[in-house]
Amino acid sequence: MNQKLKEIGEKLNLKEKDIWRIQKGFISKKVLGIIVGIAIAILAFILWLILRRQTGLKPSTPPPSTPLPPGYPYTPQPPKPGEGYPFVPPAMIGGYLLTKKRNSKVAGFLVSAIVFLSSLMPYPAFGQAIMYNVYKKKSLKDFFIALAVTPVFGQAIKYSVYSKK
Amino acid sequence: MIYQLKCAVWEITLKCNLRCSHCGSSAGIPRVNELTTKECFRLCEELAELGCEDVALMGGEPFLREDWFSIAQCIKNLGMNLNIVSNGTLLENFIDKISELEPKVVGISLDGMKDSHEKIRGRDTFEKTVRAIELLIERGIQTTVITTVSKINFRDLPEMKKLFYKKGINWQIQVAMPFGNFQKEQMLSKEEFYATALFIAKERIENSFKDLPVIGAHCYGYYSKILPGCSFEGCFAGIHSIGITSDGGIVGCLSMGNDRFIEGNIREKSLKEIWEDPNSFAYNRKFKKEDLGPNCKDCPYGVICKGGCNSMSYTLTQRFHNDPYCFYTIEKDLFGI
Repeated sequence: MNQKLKEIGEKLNLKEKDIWRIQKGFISKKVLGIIVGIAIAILAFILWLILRRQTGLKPSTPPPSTPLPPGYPYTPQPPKPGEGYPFVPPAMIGGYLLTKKRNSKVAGFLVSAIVFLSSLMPYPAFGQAIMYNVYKKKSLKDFFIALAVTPVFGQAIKYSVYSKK
Repeated sequence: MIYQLKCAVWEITLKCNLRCSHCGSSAGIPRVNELTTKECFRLCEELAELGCEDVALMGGEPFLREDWFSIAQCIKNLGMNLNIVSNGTLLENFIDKISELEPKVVGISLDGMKDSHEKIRGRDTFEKTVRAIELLIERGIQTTVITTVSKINFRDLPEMKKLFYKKGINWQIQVAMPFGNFQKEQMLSKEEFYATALFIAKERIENSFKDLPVIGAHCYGYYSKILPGCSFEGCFAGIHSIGITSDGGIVGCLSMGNDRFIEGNIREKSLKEIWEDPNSFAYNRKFKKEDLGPNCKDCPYGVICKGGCNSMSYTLTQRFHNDPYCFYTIEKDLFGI
């Protein structure tokens, strides 16, 4: 073991075995990160292939008769053809899952697998709270809120039109 | 590029009942022209209109502002998450009101065991602060203990752990930086800084996350070859977050400690105008590789971490994107890896 590293650890009563565990932790998280990363890439590719076959990944044009709801800029506007990134692909996935029953099972499984594998990614220990702000644990509820609420601009209108689900 | 504001850290008053030796804001006496209640309500509306998710009220000591509860309530009513950062010494008087507000999290500053904490924060503060933490836990409010480390208190970390273990507390460790009241001589050396990082890493491995989540703030990082869990993609100041001074100044981060970085005042322009001004927060929004300082310009991770914590970088080197307290550099210098 690096002697200097050992000396520095001793300043806060860290023993040699503690430093070994830290180094082991670093390597195992790196390896896990690579495995999960590859798995996500493969699953995402398969998902993309399925969706491509069904939809061609082209954003749909709203029917010309659809009136735009009033309230700009607070009401989300339908995307124009060729625009709308990054909101169009998730919307398409959602629509696809609802309409194609058989393949939706496969796609649903893949999305779940990707989310599950992403959750295995090593949780950062450093750089988590801005100085003078305060760290908070994310709950399962936050996770579902993040899934449910699309981060578009102008989420809240004066006097609380916006509220979390 | 359009930026989405997610988090605002709001110094609602500079008034404070303590005179901490490491206070970056040199808090104590309120600013001359602090925002009125009406102006605060308007600011809450502006934050909500921009889609801000989290507002952290801090000071000074936020509970010393008479209308703190109304401001906090306004934040909640507008659908934003409320966080509060306090020194804890007055919290007992307000615990019912705090419970009523259902804050997302309350941060309490505890800077060591009794001797060190009181050396930094003054006599008879330790017990009050510990009591405040206990009260919050009793009420089921998510609590984060914030420990700002310097030469005075960093050796207390192992002892402090015993106070928090399995009590449902989050523990945020951050580094005292030489601005405001804090003297440069008291700042951790790079070796001491790294020792605290090893401590954080050890605790993260040793304890399950639910027993004691130990977190290094944004001044800790980046891209270590030894420490697991390092991830940083650049300073958030002006990208997702802002700081608000008690007189309405808008800054990327309150720990920048320099009026020069105030982008505007909400008494002169709306928050939206300041946030959406293409020239605001240029140090982060217009970052390019060439902006990296001498500490970072040859680093392979420089363009990812953008030179680390800008507050640390500026207070130590008088320039951004040049943070010398970086794991990658320290490991190269100290251990030759």
